[in-house]
Amino acid sequence: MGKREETAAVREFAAAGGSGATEDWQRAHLLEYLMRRFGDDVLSLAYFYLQDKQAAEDAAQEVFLRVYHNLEEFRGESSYFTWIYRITVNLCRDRLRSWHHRNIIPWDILWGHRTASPAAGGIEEQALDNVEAGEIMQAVLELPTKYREVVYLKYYSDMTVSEIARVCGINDSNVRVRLHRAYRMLKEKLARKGNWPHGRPQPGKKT
Amino acid sequence: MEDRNLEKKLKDLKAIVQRDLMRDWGFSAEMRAKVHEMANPGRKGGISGIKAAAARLLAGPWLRRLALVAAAALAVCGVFAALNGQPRENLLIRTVEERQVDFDGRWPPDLVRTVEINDSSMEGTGYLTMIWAADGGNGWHLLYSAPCRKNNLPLPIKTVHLTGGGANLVLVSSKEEQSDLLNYRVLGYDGRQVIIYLDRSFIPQGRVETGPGYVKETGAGSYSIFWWSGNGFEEEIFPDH
Repeated sequence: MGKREETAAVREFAAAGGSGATEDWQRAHLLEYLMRRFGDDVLSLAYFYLQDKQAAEDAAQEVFLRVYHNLEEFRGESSYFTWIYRITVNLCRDRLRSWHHRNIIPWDILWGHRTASPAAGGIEEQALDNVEAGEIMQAVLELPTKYREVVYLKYYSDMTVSEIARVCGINDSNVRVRLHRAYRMLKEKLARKGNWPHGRPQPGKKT
Repeated sequence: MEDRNLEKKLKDLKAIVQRDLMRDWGFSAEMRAKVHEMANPGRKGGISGIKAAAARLLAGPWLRRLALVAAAALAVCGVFAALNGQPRENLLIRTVEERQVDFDGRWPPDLVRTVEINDSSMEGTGYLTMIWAADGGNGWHLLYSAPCRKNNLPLPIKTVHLTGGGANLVLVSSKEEQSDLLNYRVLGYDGRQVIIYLDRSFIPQGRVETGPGYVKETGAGSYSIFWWSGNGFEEEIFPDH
């Protein structure tokens, strides 16, 4: 028997190789797909909770491990997206509550990792963009967890109020209230930081 | 800050995060590999050794008939198990194509597989092509994976046979249905890592075919032949076809 025939024989054997093997393959394929598809989003969501890159990486891996072990529970009633976000939110909340996280993990200084990116409007414009973007991001990161999560899910993940409610395990009205309060807090924070309460200054003009 | 300004900046949050936080950071291949390992401790790559064991079994000619009889018996058992077992609709996944490829000319061959995933968050179907290497009877190790872009359809997997060593490369490709754009990659595996020898994207009205030691790419108005030169491809362009 040549190699081509052997390959065909292996395929036949594998195809009939028992439901356990087939299911293992399917689960591994699905896991890989979900990690490719949602890995970065889960990682950044975890970062918004934990504010430490290493902690976010650990949490994101743990999320997908939970996804793998609970694939049977996923019935397609919600999207994978909502389901995985829900797992991420629950896991990150647990980690935030843990003694370890509150006492050991340092605050990761996001802006230490920032690098300037090219902008069309020149150096001053770009610098203002970066400062302003940085302050908005920092202000969001400084919000209490329950407000931070709804802001992230609305503005980063483009979720609807109902989707946020499902992910966070609260009702729609609570989501709206939290968003409203978060919005107010952000305005106050940015005003305190002197972030242009009446609009942004024009580059090159003294204010 | 005015409400309008704040709203605008919050709407930029995604771009800010992607630019500042995720620019040099992401859920890497190493992280994915670690999750596969954690999911199946003790089995590198996460898949049991049943297939690899089958491969070893079938490598012995005197056992092949026995194995095929066993396979038939297992198939019958599988039918009964499927009839009696739980429905599997929750997995929402289907193998579209599977090919075994001898990247290095050694037995057992590696596995290239494309799966279709019913992904409601994609508003349709997602596809993923993967290369799995046999771990010498201990299972399978995921070497490479590539999701199809949205609205892309995977095309049949092809191989490029390299003369002189029994090795092969694999060509994975997809096509954007509406815009008729072809994307493809030619991949090899050196026993340690997957090497991308050709990576071509957005070829209008593109078609690709393979032969011993070459890849022929046909686009609108011209075609190219990429000849294998021992450690890579060299392109020869032809204006008309």
